[in-house]
Amino acid sequence: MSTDTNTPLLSVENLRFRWPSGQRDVIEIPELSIQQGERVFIKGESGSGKTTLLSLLGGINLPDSGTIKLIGTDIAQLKQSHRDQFRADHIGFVFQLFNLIPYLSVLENITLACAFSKCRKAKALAKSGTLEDEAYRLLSHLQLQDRRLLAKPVSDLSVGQQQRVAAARALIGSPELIIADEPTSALDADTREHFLSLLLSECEYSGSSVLFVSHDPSLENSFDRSIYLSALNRAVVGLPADQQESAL
Amino acid sequence: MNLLLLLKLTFKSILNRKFTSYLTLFSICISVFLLLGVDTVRKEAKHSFTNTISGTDLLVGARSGSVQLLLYSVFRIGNATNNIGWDSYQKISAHRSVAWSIPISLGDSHKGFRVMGTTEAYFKHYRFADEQALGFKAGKAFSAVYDTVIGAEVAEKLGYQLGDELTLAHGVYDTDFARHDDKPFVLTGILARTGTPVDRTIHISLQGIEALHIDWKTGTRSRETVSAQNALKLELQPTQITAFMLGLNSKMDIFRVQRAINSYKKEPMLAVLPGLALGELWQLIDVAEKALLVIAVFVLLNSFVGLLTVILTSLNERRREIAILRSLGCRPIQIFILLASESLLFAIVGCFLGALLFLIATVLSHSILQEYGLHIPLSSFGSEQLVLIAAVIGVSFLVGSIPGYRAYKQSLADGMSIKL
Amino acid sequence: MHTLRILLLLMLTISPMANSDEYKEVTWDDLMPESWVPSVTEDQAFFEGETFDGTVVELPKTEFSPIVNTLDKQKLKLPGYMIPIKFNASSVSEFLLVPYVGACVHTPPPPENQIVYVSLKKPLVTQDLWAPVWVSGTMKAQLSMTKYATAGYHMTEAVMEVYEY
Repeated sequence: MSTDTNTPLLSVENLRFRWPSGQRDVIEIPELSIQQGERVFIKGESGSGKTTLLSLLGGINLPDSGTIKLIGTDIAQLKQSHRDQFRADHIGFVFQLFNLIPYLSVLENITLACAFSKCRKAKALAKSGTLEDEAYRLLSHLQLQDRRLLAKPVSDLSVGQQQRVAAARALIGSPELIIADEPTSALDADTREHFLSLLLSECEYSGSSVLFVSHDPSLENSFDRSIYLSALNRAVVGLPADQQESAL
Repeated sequence: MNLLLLLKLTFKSILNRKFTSYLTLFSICISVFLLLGVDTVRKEAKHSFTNTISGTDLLVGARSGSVQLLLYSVFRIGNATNNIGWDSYQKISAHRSVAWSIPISLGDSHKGFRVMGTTEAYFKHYRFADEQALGFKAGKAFSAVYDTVIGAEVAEKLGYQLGDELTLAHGVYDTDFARHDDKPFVLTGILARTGTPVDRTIHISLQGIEALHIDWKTGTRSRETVSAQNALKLELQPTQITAFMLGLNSKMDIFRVQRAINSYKKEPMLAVLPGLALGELWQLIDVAEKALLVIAVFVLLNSFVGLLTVILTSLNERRREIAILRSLGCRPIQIFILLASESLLFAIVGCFLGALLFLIATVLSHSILQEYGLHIPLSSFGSEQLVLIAAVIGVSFLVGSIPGYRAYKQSLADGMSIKL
Repeated sequence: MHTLRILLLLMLTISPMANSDEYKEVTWDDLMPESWVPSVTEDQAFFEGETFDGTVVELPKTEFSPIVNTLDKQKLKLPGYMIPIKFNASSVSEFLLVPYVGACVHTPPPPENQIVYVSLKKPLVTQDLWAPVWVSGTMKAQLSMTKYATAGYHMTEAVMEVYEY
């Protein structure tokens, strides 16, 4: 994995994708690149293909054509199992809701990311000595200082707390790319901004790039760059709003 | 492959659904217990019964059916239809082809245990299991008319010691209005454990039987009773016996002697080969046996259907969880293992509990089983039972692959768009 | 456990096949001397020369029906039915081999030279008792009765296989 500062972290070219039963492309992106450490806001309304794009970038779905170069590796060329491992090693996800596994404790949820990636585990241990300490360190940076929280079941936490735990999981072991899919949409207005600033500062501390997808334009300003997916994704460009939804 | 991790996740997931998990586990535990029980009882029944008699060439009783004769004379189950005259017995047992004979007389009881009248020949010639002879744990065979020798189970249950007095009852059930209380018997011997109905029998001499019934000739106690002492002075030669066992000098004679006894014009008798009579018994029981086994298997299958239902219903709730795992880098095959191992885990724990329950049950029901002539030792749980359990676990894996496969396919199809 | 039985049956049919050449196949007729004719009344007077309706009859001189001495020490193979004598819950180790089923019940029993006392090399796990079998072993044909052996045909070190129709 080359970490030459001139090479973009993520480089997408001529990406095309359609669902197996679909009759037309849902993703057609000629070019997209993100630099290391960059914080990118992707504005996508529903129907613009944002979830599909994220699943392609995460290696969960395979594009029909094009390249997705992440840290120098074209994940579109990798086998399923290698893609899965790549995702585990280099990408951290934060979703809108229900990020956590209900039958595991807070600590277990966070360290689960390390269970699937040896290199992230190594990096986490290098930072704090034990996984538990590292999890606690991240949580306290995200302003959850109570150590007892680690042993608590997930159901005891508020939504805001759950989202921060999810962020900790995404960040543990310092993966190069954080993909956040509407992580603030379920939070109330006050918590939203707070969460965002915590997330971004921690990503900066880790040196991770952020790809933040949301339909809420008020958050744009915190980011280095904004991309409008409906303009980027040729597959939906030109389609009126109501047709955009049904395109997927 | 993070196998251990996956198993840990499965385990925690199951713990999270405590109530349904316990019910499912209970269901599997019970059905495994049933399967083990049915299988073991039928094997041990065969074993117990077959081990009761050995080395006897012919069993002879009043003419009835061969299985019935076997049951009442050897297993003390059921009753004879009629008796055999003493002179018929003497004539047959005196024949040159007969090496030894044991006459027996049944009809009385004591506190739920059957009383059997016989001679010293019984203690000398009776064999069980692999040609094992009867041994004495304490004392010796009877010598006087009112002596008695009891089996190991009787001694244990009733706590008798040598020298104790026993009052025998008339008839198969012991009730106080039909007791021979004027003629108590003295315990002179306790037999070592055999694992056969011998343990549950009280043995007295044939003369003892005669003495008991000396004033019961009309079928009920006569007004003028004869005391125990006076009875000794009277003629105590038996006139009838219930059955007798024969050991021949040459095995080649078995058929001829049998034929001769069966066609004996002076008295209707039946002579059977114990081996063949047992075979007939198994034929009778076989159908019931197989039916029970089939039922037990169906009960188990039913449990698995229940398990499958539980896991499949949970699958819907777990789609989100599976998507999260996928996003963390979990591979579809690992998702398959996650779900399939759930069924496996239930089966393993269920089998363990079922086996445990079975072992506890065999210990607790020991005395009840003994009444039916069954002896199920703890050692009966062996490699065959383990094979059965292994089969159950194997089936559970097949069952588990169904939700496993579904989850596998779903995880591939869902991608990151999870419809909640 | 049905599969266990089938497996066992298969093993039985396969294993002795390897040695079946050393055993000479005989029939039940071969066990009776050619000159001898079994008499009908032989077993009628069993108890001290008395028939069943009470009349006294002359007992025949020979105690047992005659055997064919030349068969002694021969390795023979004979088909028949088992009557178990020495057995336990799982296996049979010694039995009487007879030419037909129901040897003990319906018709007059077979004469001694139509019964073979077989002792198996290895106790056999009990299968269907009424299935016809081939028994291969060393035949002992003895005339006199000693303390330890009884007269008639004995087959020792025998192996058994299921009779194929």
